[in-house]
Amino acid sequence: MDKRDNDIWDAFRQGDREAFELLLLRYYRALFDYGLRFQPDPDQLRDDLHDLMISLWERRAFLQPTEHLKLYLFKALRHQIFRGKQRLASSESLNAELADTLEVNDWNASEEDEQIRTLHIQKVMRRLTRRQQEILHLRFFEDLTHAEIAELLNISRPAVANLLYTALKAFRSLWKGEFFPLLLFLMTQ
Amino acid sequence: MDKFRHYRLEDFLFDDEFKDWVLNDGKLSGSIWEEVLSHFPEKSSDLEKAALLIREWKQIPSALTDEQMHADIRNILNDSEKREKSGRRSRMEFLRYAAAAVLGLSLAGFLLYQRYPSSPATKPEAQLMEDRIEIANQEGVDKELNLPDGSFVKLSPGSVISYRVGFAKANERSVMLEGKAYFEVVRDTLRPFQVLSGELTTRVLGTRFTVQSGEDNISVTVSSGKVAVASSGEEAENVVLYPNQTVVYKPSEKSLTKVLAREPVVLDPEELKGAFAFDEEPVADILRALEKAYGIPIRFDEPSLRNCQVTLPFREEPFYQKLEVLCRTIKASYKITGQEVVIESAGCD
Repeated sequence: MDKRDNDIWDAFRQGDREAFELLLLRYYRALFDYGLRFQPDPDQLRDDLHDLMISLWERRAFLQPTEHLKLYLFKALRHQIFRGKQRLASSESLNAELADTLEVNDWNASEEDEQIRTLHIQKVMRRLTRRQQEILHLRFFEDLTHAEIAELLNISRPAVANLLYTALKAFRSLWKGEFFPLLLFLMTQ
Repeated sequence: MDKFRHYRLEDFLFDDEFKDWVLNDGKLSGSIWEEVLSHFPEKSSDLEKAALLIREWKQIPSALTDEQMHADIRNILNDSEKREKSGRRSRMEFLRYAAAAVLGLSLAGFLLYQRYPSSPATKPEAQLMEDRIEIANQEGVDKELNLPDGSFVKLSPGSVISYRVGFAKANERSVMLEGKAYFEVVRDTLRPFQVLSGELTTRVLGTRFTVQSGEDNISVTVSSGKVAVASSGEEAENVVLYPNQTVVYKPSEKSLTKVLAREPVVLDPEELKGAFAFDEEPVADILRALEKAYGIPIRFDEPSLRNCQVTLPFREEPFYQKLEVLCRTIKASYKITGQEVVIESAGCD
């Protein structure tokens, strides 16, 4: 594992506040973008993240060293969110499903082209099931291996392969409809 | 090889080997994918689309603004402190927590000083000087380290970097550098990052670049993002640098000169995608694609190159080598003036 992660996690468990802050600076954003895959309501997600971080800090003396810090944090987030969801009344969870906001971060102008292309990926993604979005995010954005995804989602590796392949087929058939207008757009640049 | 016969877009995307190949720069020559394409040329469209998708996926912007992130982080940290303070008053069991548990803001500074021993007996690399932290690389290899804001630095041997203790909280994140270092700066629009080396100040928001100060000059080269470089003093100048640009500052002349990076990297691989199929293309189109791919202006006289056609596949040669091969093919030559490439040719008639 990344030596820097090792140091941060060890220091965090020993109560080092600077390490706590460093941990947040390093991983808050990735946790947020991942969490959105299965908790589409951003305000609820931020509450969950807040609760998770406080809980980790308060339990820090009892936490173990870990081989893969990011994976550990992702797992903890999933646990936090799904525990919370079980307590949600069914109408609330329906609202959560309907909520679908996406703030596109504004980078500099020369990356406009990339923004447009990635918006297409996101458009197609949003039409997939929550589970499919999650696995595509883990594989292509976070670059996790099949084994890591299996550990995170608590399913077997063949199950990961299945999920992934189905998600890709679904993605492809939705993408074909989007792609040709995109190609025309690129060619007129 | 037969298994690729039925490959469609989703199969390329599913294939771990393919994904790793794309993300590690996707050099076609020598790779199994070159073989696949020669056996099944009809797959090239799906292959390229898959590669494009894999790269694009990594670029998906975050849904979280910087402001929101910092606000959330501050809330978490503040809340955790509040809870500890109120917990302490009502519970004696706090003593059971690990000895290093934080006892309040007033002690945080003390813990920090403890981590950097003032006597250089064992590890002289990190020392506390006034209120600065200084890290020197006295080994023979690059030294990797993290700044308090999460930024990553690779310090070259013999170089020294230093920053104030309150680095991550100040309005500007400022480090001083002697020697050479490569930076990957965490994006924070609220707190610009700056590197002070000699009389030169390099300012960024979040990007990757290298600063090198030598005996008689200081140079800054940008790998990604953009950077503002300013010299100080009476004749202060400043310049904005984009990828593949280098600025060289000569203290003796107090001059800032922008030049092309010695080893330009491909900024937009998409432009060269069609390079696999450069088949009797007018050379003007190829030059334009090259320009867009590297972000380096290439000037040429279009009419005189009118009859020049080229059939050559670009692979992954360095930029200047591509230029040389191209020029040899059309019996032209190139020169670099300032930050532009100029092609000179007598034509192809």
